[in-house]
Amino acid sequence: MGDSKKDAVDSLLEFILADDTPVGPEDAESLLLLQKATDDAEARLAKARLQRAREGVFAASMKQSVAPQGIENARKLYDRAKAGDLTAGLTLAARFGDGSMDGDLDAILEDLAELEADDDEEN
Amino acid sequence: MDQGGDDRCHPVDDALAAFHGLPDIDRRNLANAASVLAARGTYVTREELISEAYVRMAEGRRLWPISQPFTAYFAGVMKSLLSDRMFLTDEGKVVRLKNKMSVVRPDDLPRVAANDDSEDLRNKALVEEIVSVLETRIAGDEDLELLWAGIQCDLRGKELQEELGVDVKQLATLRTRLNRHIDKICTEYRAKEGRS
Repeated sequence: MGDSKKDAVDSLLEFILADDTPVGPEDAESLLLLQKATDDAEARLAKARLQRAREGVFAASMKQSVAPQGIENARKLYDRAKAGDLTAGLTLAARFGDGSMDGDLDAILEDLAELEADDDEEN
Repeated sequence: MDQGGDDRCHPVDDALAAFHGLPDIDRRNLANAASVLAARGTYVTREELISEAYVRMAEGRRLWPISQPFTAYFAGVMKSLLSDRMFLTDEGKVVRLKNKMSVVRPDDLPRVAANDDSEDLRNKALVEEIVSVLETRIAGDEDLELLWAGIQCDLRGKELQEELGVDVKQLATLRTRLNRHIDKICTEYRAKEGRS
């Protein structure tokens, strides 16, 4: 706005975009450049779409893999094992007691519930 | 931007269709516009500008206003990328970091300001870079200096011919010469950066 330097590039762009000289052999490089850049953009867009699709599939499979009841059973099993109940059929590594694994507990319980579900299917 | 009060936009699919339906003349002109914007020799190539502008258009992050011709819109997206922090390549970020850490020479000041200050200031600095690079390049070539002055006065077509005292063909030749200078600047910078 009222900035003559800014107008300078805008004016130059306008001038260049208004060029109506027919395309000749000397323009081949420009056309190729635009094509290459467009191909690159399309490839990046396709990659992003694929990535989003993958994330969607992953999120969906995570959701349906374990029923809430399975998680609850796994938690009971875990609590028993932590309390030293040898009949729980579960041995916990020593580091479970020191709090360093607590952040991963949800994921561990999910894994455990999945294992239990697999066992149930087999029996 | 001169929006003429109408800020409605075309759907993204229409913009994509317009891009793919561009005649070769417009495709060439857009590539030349990208050259102008990349001709300040810093951080970004013509290909990267076109590619990123296309991505932003396709993802609907930059919409095509009804009031603008397509080529003006697309060139505007490319121009806005130059002052977009998110769009800097890693290489560009390293260059900027170096600028911040090294002793600053007076002629680096606009660039340092461009790193640290508001969008407006960054935009102004980069426009100054483009203009000064180009003006240095055509200095001493009277015909091109006159053409440049005419462009800055927003003279086009017939008016420009009359002002310069040339016919259509001679104007086309001047235009080609100017484009060559711009292309050359881009190519030199790319060579300096080790890009092919």
